[in-house]
Order: sequence, then C-alpha cells, then structure tokens
Amino acid sequence: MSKAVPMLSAVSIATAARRGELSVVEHTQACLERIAQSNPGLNCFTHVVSERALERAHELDARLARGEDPGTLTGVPFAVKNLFDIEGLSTLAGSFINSSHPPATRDAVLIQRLEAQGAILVGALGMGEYAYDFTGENAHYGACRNPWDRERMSGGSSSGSGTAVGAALVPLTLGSDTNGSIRVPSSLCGVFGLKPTYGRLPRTGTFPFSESLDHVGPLARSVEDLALAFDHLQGHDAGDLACVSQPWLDTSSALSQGSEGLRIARAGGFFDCSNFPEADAAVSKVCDALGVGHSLSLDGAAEGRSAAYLITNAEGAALHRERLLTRLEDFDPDTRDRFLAGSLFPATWYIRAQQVRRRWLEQMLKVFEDVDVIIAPCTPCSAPLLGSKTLVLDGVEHPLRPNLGVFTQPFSAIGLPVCSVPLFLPGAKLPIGVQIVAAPWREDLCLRVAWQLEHQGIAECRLPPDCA
Amino acid sequence: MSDLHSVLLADGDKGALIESLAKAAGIEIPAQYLAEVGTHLIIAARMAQSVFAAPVDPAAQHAAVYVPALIPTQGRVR
Repeated sequence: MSKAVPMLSAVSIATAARRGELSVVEHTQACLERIAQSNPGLNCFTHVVSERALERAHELDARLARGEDPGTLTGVPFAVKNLFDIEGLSTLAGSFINSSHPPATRDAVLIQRLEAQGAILVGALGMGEYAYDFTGENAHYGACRNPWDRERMSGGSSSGSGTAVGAALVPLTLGSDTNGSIRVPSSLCGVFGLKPTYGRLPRTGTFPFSESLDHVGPLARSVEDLALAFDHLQGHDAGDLACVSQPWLDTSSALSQGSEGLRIARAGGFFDCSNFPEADAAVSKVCDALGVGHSLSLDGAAEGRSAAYLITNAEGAALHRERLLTRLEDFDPDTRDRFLAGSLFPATWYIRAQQVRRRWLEQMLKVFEDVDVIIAPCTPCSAPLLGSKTLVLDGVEHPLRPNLGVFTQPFSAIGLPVCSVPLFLPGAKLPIGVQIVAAPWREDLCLRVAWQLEHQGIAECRLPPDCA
Repeated sequence: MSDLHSVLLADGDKGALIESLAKAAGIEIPAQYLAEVGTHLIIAARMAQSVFAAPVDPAAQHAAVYVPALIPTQGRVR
C-alpha cells in the first residue's frame, strides 16, 4: 500500500483504492492530518468529522478486502458547505443563530449520493452568513482565506468549498449558488466549479436562501472529477419541489469530445469587460484558444441581473423575517442590513422582477437556437484584499459585496448551467475564472468545453505554493 | 407604490421614509442601522428602476411564477 497524497484527484484516488493500490484508511488519515495542519491558517472548515470519516474508511477497506466494489468514488474525501445537513451537526448556514438549532437527523441527499459511490465525508465548510455573500468574510466565524494569498478574499458564499479544493485539502466539495456562490469562489480560489441547471440537483436537506434561485453543485480540481461527481449527484428527489425529473446525462463519457462541432460565442454587451483588464484578458485567452470569433450582445442581461437582485433580496428577507424580528443583533451586520432593506420594498418590485426574469430566459432560449456555448467573464477581478468594501465598475465606485457577482447573476437568474474554469494570466499570482454557459440541461456541453480548455493547458487548477 | 423607486432615487434625506416603510412592514430598525439599510434599499431601487424600464407585455407575462425551462435533452435514462 502506498502512502496517500492528498492532492491526488478523485479519479486517481478511487482508481487506486479499487485496484488495491491505496489504503483508504491511510489516505483518509493523511487527508485529516492535512486539514488539521492547514485549517488554522485558511479557516475553511467549521467542523471536521474525523471519527465518522475513519469509521467509514475502515468499512470501505473491509469491503475492498472482501472483493466488493464500493463505487467509482471509493475513498474520495469530500466536504460540504455548512448549509448541507450532516447527521449529528447543527446546520449553521454560516450563521450564529442556527448554532442553537438541533442537530440534523440525516445527511442531505447529495451527501448520501456521493457516499453511495464510496466517497467519504470529512467535514463542513465555512460560508458567508445565510449565503448572502460574495466575499468569504463572516463576522461570526472569521474570514475564510484565499489559498493563493491569505490576505485576500476566497469569494463567497461557498468560501470554504473554494478554499478547501484550492488548497488541495480535499479533491471535491459541494457548494450552493444562488447568484454566483459556486462560481465566484471558484474564480478567486482557482478551481473548477459547476452550477448545474436550476432544478437539476435536489436541494433536499440544505438550508435555503432564495428558493426560486438556489442551486447546488460541485467544485473540484479537474474537469474529470467535476463530471464524475456531477454524474453521481444527478437524479430526481421528491423532497425538493423545484427538482425536475430529467434523463440522466452521462457527462463523463462525453468529455473527450471537447469543443468539436460546438457553436461557441463570446458574451458581449452587459458582459463586455474591457474595463476589467484581468477578466477581459481571461475571456480573450479562452476565446482565442477555442477559435471564437464573434460576440453576442445578449440584450436583457442587465435587467435579468436586476431581477435576480430583487428576487434574492425579497425571498431572503421573507425567509428570515422572524429572525429579523427576534434576533436582529445576532446577524452578521453585512447580511442584516441587506435583509432589512429587502423587507421594505413592495411586492410589485418582486413581481415585476419575476416577469423580467421570464423575458430574459425567453431571450436566451432564442440565442441558444444559434449557439451551443457562451463564454463570459466570471468575476470582474481576481481576489480583492480582505476588508475591501468597494469595487470600481465602469469608473464608478460600488459596494463590493453585491457586485463581485455582477457577471454571474444574470445566468443563475434563469437557471442556465455554467462551468467556471480557472486561468492564470502571464505573470499573475492570482487565478481568475471564466464562465462557460450552455442552454438548460446541457451541463455536458459546459463540461466538454472546460475539458478542452484544461487539455489545451488554458484552464488549470494549480497548487498554491503554501499548500504544497 | 410602484413609483417608490423614483422617490428613493430622488435627492434628499430618506431617513424618515425608511422609518415609515419599516413601521408599515412591522419591523423596528434601530437608528444606527438606518443609513446602511438605506444604502441597500437605494441599490434595490436602482434595480427596480431597471426592471420597470424593461419592456414586458402584461398579457403574455401575467404570471409571476417561475417555471424552469423544459427543453429536449441529449441524455439517456439511467
């Protein structure tokens, strides 16, 4: 048995374990040791379930010894944003308030699905309070730090999910994305992230934020791992009313088709990022590599983004109304004030936003009659310094929190599948992501293009120097 | 009420307006939070201005219910 190396990919771990070349117990122990060493500096885990993980590792090794095959994720350690229920733990959702909630009595459905294929849950990850965050900062639990520069933001709200994968503490995490919360940390931490189509993956056993916008999905260090996880996460669950029964999509087998035969365009108009040099260079690098020569204006994106903003604000405020009335002082001030604002505006704003959202979807469905995939910026910039409060957009200073996701919001507003791929520009010390967007239910196309970019060496998940 | 966004985006102190809105919503906002809440409400008002400026046909878009798009997929049944 070889000693485990934590930065192995999920596919490599499972392959080695199933061949008897890797001890699941040893690998899990090494993973837990690495987390124990690194977490004090990164602050990405809020709970590590060592006992549970090792117990499961022993079970898996015993099954392998008996000649059984536990599944294609055998021995793969993974962790989840702490809005996923974990049996025996209170589901924090990044909040102090929820710490007094009773422990969950069962795991979230997506945890069950990964474990059904032999994966091993090792812990819960930090996040922005109640997922209303793009920064990774948290007044209760401290900032989750960027693995590339610990003075910088990890991005949010799936901050721990981005950092844990970026620092190679685990090869796979789960996050959630209402307006960009998988894609923003993927961009800032330099990892691959998939926000599937709205309704594709069940949110059963997760703490909500804005139900008509909430998505869940995986983050990983390679496209192959991302696809493998996604393939096992799929499937209807009646516990989530938004979950749609769809045929299973075999994305892993489709990866090697790459971008061949796909009609790809660059997002222009609202997504024109010429004022953001890093984002612009990243998108150009991807488009050059794919031979993309034309851009689309994507009319309606700005209004779609506005609609997402209002819907999130209203639904989030409604969800937390009782807590706002009774425990106002226990909120993170940054989320508190936004939820309060969302409590004050009239229903007509919300209804109009839903109508505009529908119109934006119809506009995009027409666009997808002529193209298969759209390339767009992910974040306007690489990771800002912790504590930054503003971001300059088109020469005007705006609050940072709502605007780091300016380019991600329009797509999640209408539930399109998006894969964020990490790039390093020449001479850059920090990664930045690019969005690969497809029509509803076509995650396979996003992943094929991501795979193509990874194989061309354009997109890559590097190991940060402090994490080697 | 749909013109609330115009009122919020006009010049002038909004403290009294925000206090009135909070009262109507049944929420007590401590005085020290009013300024920041106002900042966020004004951002929301800009978003409202944007969605009200977008052309929407009320006859075609009467339902304020979001339905996920259902289009044919290339997938196969597991």
